[in-house]
Amino acid sequence: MSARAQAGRLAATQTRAAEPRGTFLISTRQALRGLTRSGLFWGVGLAIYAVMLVAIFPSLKGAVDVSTYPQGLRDALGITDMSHIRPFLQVEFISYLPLVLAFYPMTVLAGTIAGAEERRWLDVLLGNPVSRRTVVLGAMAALAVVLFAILVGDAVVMWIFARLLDIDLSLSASLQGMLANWPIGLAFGAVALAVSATVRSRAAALGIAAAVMFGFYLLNLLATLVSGVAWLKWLSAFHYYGSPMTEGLFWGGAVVLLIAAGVLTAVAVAAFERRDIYT
Amino acid sequence: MTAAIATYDLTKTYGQARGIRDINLTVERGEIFGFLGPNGAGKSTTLRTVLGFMKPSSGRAEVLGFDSWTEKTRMHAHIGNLPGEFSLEDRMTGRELIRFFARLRGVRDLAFAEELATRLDANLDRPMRRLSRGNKQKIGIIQALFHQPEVVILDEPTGGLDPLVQEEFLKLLAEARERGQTVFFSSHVLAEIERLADRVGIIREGELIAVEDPTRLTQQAFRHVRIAFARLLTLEEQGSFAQLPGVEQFRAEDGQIMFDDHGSFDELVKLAAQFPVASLDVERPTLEEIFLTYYGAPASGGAAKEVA
Repeated sequence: MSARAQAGRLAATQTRAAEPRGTFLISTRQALRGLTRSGLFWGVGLAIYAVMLVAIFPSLKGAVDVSTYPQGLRDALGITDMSHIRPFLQVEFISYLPLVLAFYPMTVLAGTIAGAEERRWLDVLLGNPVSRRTVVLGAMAALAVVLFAILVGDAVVMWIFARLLDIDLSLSASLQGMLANWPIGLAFGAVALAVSATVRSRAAALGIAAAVMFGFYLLNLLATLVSGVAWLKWLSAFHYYGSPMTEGLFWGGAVVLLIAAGVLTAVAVAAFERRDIYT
Repeated sequence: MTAAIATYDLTKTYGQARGIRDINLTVERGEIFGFLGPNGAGKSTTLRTVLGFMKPSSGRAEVLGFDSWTEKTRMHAHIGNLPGEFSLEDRMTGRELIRFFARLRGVRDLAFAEELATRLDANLDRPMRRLSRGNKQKIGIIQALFHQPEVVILDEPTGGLDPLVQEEFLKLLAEARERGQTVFFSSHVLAEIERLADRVGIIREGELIAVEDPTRLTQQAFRHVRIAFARLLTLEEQGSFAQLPGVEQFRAEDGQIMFDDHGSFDELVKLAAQFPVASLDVERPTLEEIFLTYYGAPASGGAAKEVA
């Protein structure tokens, strides 16, 4: 009886000490290396687009008369006055930026489990003393770092370019508009991760995550446009994203999105740890 | 001392009919164990369940006493693994891959990795996407062996290697055994199992049907017999050979008779002695033929074992 209890304790100790110390950092660093190229690609692409929008702002300023737009639509788009750079960027860029940028975390994280499995890389990687949990958390951590770096870098580029053109855009506004994409990007990435931990197909994980994202976007639009269903907005991730360029970062919403990302990541780890790795 | 690998009624079913049933297998420390079976027989399923990539449907597996599902991460610290089908990250070079795995394993000395690369003629500086299948396989072998694990598990390790490299690889496995490492490898290349393995497990349709010493396996089994006579035998005389117990596949042509003898050698020699024998050839079957006997229809007498 006591020998059995002892054996049980021994097993527990062994499980706790399963990985050599530093495995999480090694795993994260390796994932970071894998993201350098794609991170640069997304960062530069996004910077070019942001700079182009800032560059055309002076010539468009005042050309769009939003006062003719119905009030509901103006609310939905978060438009107040298009003669200032912040509402202009909010409408033309930041309001739908997650719909584009979230594809980065979604493609990366759909590849972490299902993609690596399809490529038959997991059998090699997981033959090392590294747990499935560490592989997933390391990938998530690396992606969070790279996404943050992209957003900060592009916010600074956008701000500098506005200054050069003598456009009144503060660094704080630029940072808040961009960084609001961090929690929502991680949340949609975590959707792809959680799906890829169950469906075993990278394409399916990406497709389902994208469908969820566009569904949320439409839901939020519907809640704003149709009177009587305004409560629906609470169900949409985009409500928690807010209008960061005009109203500043919605901190409470960011926390909700980060919690969602955390829960979905935990679900992904739990599902992945319980299932077979297929070839 | 716990066995290197032990499975207890290990069963894994998935999909339609595929899977393994009640595999009981023990691989002792320091031995080379060959795992033989055709494609789809369950070799990879067994190996991947032992490695903790799949959860047993029932039963369990242990490597060095670690449960392969609940203690897999700790277990992997003692195992070098070469999967049957794998890919390595496209943009990584072999050296980057080995360094990454060395960090995960806390291995600092990469001298043995370099030695392996030299002996296998592997290119460690080229990105994986620019390597041929054989050259990728070499990197796969190096990552499985460079840390000199206590247990090496290899699924079809010689696939894609040219003969010279295969030869060197088999030497490496023999050296690993001399160092006390245990090697568990699957193969359908019977010659390499016959040459290298201390024991061979034969798997058929998901069940382990025999565990044998490969040399004894060849000794125990039937013989190909060819006897040439100085004169033509009558049909009746030929028939007396064909009617001996254990004689199968009997053919007669050009004054020679040919058949497989499954064990009645005494009667055979005494019968043959009554005729003028010009030549007598007795050949051992190859392991492949023995395997086919196990795997084939149970009609060929004692060698094939019917599986319920």
